[in-house]
Amino acid sequence: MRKLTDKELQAIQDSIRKKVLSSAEIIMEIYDHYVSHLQEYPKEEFEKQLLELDQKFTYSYCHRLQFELNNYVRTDIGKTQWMVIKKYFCFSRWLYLAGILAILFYVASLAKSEKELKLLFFSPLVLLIAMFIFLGVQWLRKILPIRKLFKGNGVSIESSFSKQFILRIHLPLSLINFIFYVPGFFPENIYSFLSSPSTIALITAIFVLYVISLLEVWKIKSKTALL
Amino acid sequence: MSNNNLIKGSLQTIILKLLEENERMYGYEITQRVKELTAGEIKITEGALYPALHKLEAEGLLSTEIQQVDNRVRKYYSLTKDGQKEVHSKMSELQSFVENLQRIINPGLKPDFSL
Repeated sequence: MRKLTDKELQAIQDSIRKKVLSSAEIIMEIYDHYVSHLQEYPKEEFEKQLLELDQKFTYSYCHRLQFELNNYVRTDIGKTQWMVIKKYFCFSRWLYLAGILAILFYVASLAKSEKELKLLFFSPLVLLIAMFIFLGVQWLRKILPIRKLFKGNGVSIESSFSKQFILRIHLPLSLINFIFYVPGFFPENIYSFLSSPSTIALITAIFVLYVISLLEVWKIKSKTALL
Repeated sequence: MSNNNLIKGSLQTIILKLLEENERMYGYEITQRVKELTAGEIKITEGALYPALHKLEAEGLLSTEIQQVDNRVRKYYSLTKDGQKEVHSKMSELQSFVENLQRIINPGLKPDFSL
């Protein structure tokens, strides 16, 4: 096994760049395969071996891998989050759940105005935005070196996992935006229903569970993915 | 024997068996280990390896772990608890298939494989 020169590493990166991949996980797996393979051969055989690898890792093959990984990640994150949420309803954790509900119902009953209720309602969203910023910094730390390595790839390189997380963070924000800022789409009585303290407390509890579960999924997945 | 069609059906079993013995491995390492064990007679193609690894991961039989190696990230695969259970059933399935194949190829074989 020999150490590849900078020029050779550059040639490998150029070769992978031509595949126009966007999934950081797939790019890194292919890159590791190329480097591990080419390290086994003498300098004179580098060009020939690189060409052989390119014939194996064709554009369509790499994109099929990327497509399948994205599909897998989508279902995997959904499944993991559902598994985490189900755990909150287990006997050992019911006290936490009851505690959160009791606190939220109590705070909602104390609210004197609609403004205070709205504040309670939007509090998990603030948590969601804070989580988005925190996770964003973590993702960037892992993705930036890869982006730098494959600069000029043609498409933005992202972790297949982080894309799904961003989508799941945006989902409740978009839903609330839709309910409150698209007037006339929902019947008028939905707004009076949404201003009742107990409804607000319940919706807030659901959002809190959603945010905490998403954070737990991140904790699980960050050990095994570029998150 | 380097017929890819023959290997295709048992690729998942090969991967699971290797991971049972080696705890954790990365893609290229798997291809090399197979080459080494079969003295180059069986070569796992990259075209088949990664889809199989990703499929096993999606089925929950493999878990992954990333590690920084030199200036790159390496993805290691290892067996999950379900994967460990699956190795045994896949291995006995493959063994009985090979035995049956032997009987077809050599009809003179007795049930205990003596002639």
